[in-house]
Amino acid sequence: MKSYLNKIFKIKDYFRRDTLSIYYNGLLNDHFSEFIVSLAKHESSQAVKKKLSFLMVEVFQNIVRYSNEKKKNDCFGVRNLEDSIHIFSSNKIGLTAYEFLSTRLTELNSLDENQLKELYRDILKNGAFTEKGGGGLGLIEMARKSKNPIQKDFQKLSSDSYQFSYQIDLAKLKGETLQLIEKNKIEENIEIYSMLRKNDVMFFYNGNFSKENIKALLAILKANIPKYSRKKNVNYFRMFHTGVELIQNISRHGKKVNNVLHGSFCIFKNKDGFYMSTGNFLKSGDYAEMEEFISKINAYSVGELTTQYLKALKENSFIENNSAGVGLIDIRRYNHSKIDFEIHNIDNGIYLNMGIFIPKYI
Amino acid sequence: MEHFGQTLINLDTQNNVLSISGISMMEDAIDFYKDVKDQIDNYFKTKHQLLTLVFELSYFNSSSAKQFIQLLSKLEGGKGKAIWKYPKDHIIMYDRGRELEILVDVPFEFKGI
Repeated sequence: MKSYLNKIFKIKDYFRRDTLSIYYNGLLNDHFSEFIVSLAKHESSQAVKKKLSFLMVEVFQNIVRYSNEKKKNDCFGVRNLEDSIHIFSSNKIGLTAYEFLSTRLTELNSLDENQLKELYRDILKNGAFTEKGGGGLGLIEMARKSKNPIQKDFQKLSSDSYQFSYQIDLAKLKGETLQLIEKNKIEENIEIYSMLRKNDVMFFYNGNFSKENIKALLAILKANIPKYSRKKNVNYFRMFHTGVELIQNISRHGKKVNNVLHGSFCIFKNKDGFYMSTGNFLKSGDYAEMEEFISKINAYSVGELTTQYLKALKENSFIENNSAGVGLIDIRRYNHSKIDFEIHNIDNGIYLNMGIFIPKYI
Repeated sequence: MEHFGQTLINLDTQNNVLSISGISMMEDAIDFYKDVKDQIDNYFKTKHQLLTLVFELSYFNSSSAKQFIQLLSKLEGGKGKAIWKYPKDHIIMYDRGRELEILVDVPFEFKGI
């Protein structure tokens, strides 16, 4: 399973210019999108927060509006670069939606700010513009708010279906109009996101592990735990608990760089189960201790783990340091899997990648 | 979103019950449970009666487990008991209560709800 750790390190490298990266490939619903919006919002300047929320919600709604597939192939991504934000989305659409979207987006992209404003007013005044429940109006709003052309791509999948990808580019400074497309072309994101999909990545977050963001991450995790048919509570518990302990481990051991606790959290999904991994810079001096500890708990047999958990819980209960030991033994014992870890020496110090396989059923 | 992961604490001095319910998954459990520990200490300073600690949780993380040991240890020496309420079909939440019972010298009652 260590191969997943190699994957995650490569994936992280694709996003090395980003201050925040979110990728999600799965079902979207309103409740869930609220947490992704919250995650992205925390990382943005006050000036663009409102605009960003609007644009993200609009992108989510478009996925629901135009997607005609039962077996979803939706994916959604946000990338914050130094001075710009890029919201990407891709989903399967039918012929009618294709005809509407390709024509409308080409038309909108040819209009300047005043023409867009005029068109928007016209539609509000005269009504009908689209047969798809107002989606056209949303597209105009997106173009107006982002102050950039909407990047788009249509891949023909069959005679009546297309993979539709598009991207909204937004400057971080309020009111500023930038030609941001050169900085983050949609082709680059189509390639990255299809690579993530091929590598079983269901969710990827790379950014600040502030308290608010951790809360949103855990809510996203909770919303994505599958409905198990057997031993529902046990399997649900294993997945949720593993995520909680791994994510909180970053805030315990992660090292802040420029006052930001930067890290990554990734969920892979394959037919046998899930693989969760985290990545973060380590506080100096923590590495040797961490390596020794993980090697020790990996050496325990599954049968020994509960005894070791109880021993560690008893010994650590009165040590006021929120140390991670008990949590790691706990996730190892519930998943019957070893904890994988890898160390990389990079620019800002020692970077730890850690992960564990969560079998679908045990 | 504000209700996600909320832990509810209630000290009922009339009935001598301290209850912890909901989900206990904060990363800084030490800070969160400091007040609860103070409440128990104050209770024993002012009341000389047994205290019942009622847990009714659907999830708790490892940081919380350590704090539960501390809270329970305040009842050791015949100062109270624990009632562990767990969702009836949730074997893990039952087991996690049993594990706490092993580690402290406090009588436990288990109630599947």
